[in-house]
Amino acid sequence: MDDVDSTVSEVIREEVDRLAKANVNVHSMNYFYDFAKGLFSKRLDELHRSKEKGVKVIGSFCNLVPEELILAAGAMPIRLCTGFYGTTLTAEEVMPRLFCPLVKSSIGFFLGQSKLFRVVDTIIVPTTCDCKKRLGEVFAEMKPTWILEVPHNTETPQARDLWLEELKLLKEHLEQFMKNRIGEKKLREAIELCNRKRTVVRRLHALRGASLPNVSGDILLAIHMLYYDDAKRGCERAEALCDELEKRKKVDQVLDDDLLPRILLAGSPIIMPNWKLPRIIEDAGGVVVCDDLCSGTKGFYDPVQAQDWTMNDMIIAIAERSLTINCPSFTPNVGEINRILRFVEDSQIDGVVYHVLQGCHPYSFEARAVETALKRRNIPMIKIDTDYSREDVEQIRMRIEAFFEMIVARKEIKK
Amino acid sequence: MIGIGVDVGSCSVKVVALKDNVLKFAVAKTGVSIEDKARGMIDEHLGTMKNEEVALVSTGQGRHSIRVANRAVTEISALVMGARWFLPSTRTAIDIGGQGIRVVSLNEEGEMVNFLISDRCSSGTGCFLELMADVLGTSMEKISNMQLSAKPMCLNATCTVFSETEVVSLIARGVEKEGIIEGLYLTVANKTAQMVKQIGLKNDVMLCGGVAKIKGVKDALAKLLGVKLFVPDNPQIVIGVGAALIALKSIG
Repeated sequence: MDDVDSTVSEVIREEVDRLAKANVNVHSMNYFYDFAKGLFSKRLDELHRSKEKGVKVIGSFCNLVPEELILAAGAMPIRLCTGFYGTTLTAEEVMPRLFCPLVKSSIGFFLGQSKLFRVVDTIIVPTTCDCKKRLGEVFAEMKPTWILEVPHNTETPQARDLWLEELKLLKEHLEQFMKNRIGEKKLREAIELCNRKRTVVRRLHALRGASLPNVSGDILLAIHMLYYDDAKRGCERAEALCDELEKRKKVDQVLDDDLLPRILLAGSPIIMPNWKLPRIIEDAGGVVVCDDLCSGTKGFYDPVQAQDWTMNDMIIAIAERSLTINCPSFTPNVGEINRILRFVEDSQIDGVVYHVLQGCHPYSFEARAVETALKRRNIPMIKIDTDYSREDVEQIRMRIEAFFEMIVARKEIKK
Repeated sequence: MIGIGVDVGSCSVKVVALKDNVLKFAVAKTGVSIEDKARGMIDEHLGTMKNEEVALVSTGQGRHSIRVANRAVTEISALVMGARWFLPSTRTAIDIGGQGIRVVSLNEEGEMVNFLISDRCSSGTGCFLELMADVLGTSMEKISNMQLSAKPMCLNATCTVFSETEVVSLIARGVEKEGIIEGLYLTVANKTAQMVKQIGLKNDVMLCGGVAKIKGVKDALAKLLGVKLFVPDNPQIVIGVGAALIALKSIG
């Protein structure tokens, strides 16, 4: 079988096997390795089986689409962001070439008749960046697509009103689509489940910053997989991972080489199997002790804080939460700068690696602001402009190695 | 104690040996069996080193292909060390090599504070100039020594392939060769100056790498930046010297 799903599975297997090989006997990671390897086979088959039983599958992009509403409506949510170079080429047949590789990759899966395309009943696309907007237009030709209007100057009252109205409309739309009313009880359960996921991600965030044996690459993968897994099962597995790491922390030999560069990875999303940058960082001896990627910690950072759990209160809380995500399509987006500075301090970061995908103007511009803020704190940053292809691996490796040599030299002087 | 630096660049391999501040070096075209070549160059050019404590550090794009090296460092770290050895007051070092431009910024203590590397396109580098010299029916050696007084042609393209098309069309229009060459120098200088300005210009400024041997490029860049550029006698070995210094340091 030579279809797109088996091709991408092959590439994912190679990346994941490499991570698994370096594993320092953290057994709870096995679930996440297997899950990642089965993303385009087992996981999609599972969704197909639910579909046969009459459950609807709703695909979405971005952290601005509230998973709570999809769950409360009784549907299965699945993230459609993909990281496969092969399908970007398929998409270039119909899309402009100098465009976001994530968007191209996802469109390519649909054009290539992936199971992913067959399994989703409808798609929700938020109008965050321009590439996502265009993606919505292309998808609308193939599947029922709901465009979620996202305000950008999020600090104004009129933006907040618009966003609240948009979420109320989305709720109505989902109710009609699912022929199922979203009640207070169901929404509360969904919020609590999603918050549970956010709690476990915060635990993982705290654990990777502590001096454990080097499991940083594994944690990045585990958090990333939570975007694709069943919410409840993902939570349970991630909680088990936390428990194991906490136990290990007490008995294990910890990372005691204080010359290792402690890295914060931020910027454009890093999506399996596009594990190019994390892999180069690890090969060069860096440890990603923290990330602020919208394919990682960023989407799970803040919980939904409902007060009295009435329908109106819950929708307002969901709306407020999503506007604290610090999406780079927001302007201004000072929250993001402050969060990065806080992460740098809390996790004793030596340097920031800022990933920018080709055509990702929001992150490319934000890189400037982040670098300026970091400079004031004397924290070096390197911006890596790249895409999903492999052709620039050696050049990126050189930049990253040089960046780490600079960091280590600084640390040696400090010592 | 001898420190050996092997700089495996995209166009040439530079082998440098340092002993008590005395320098020996050899340069050859990068081939396929890089390690054999480097070993051959050490044996042939750098004299006997028996009974000596030797450390070898590799650098450059092919740094990981030298397995006998005690350590591999990037050309950025090597450039910092090398530039300081040739000119201790260096605060900005610019290296224009075969396939890349590197700019490093040093603080008052001579420590690196920032660096920039040109992106994956090799326009504005040695390879680019070599290719263009070929298109113009001449060679790098000849264009390096050419006395130029023509008015530089404005070349717009930033990509080697597009530049070739542009140069070919200029030749077809009957534009004099000298004007085109000066235009090429200006293209290289412009791209380099842009990077230097991005990182922040600080005196003293060193220009090195193979392309630094071309006076036309040096003059154009000095003019664009409005500063004096220091070019060592053998500018292509600065990174290799840096690697040799790192090797010496590792012996102690």
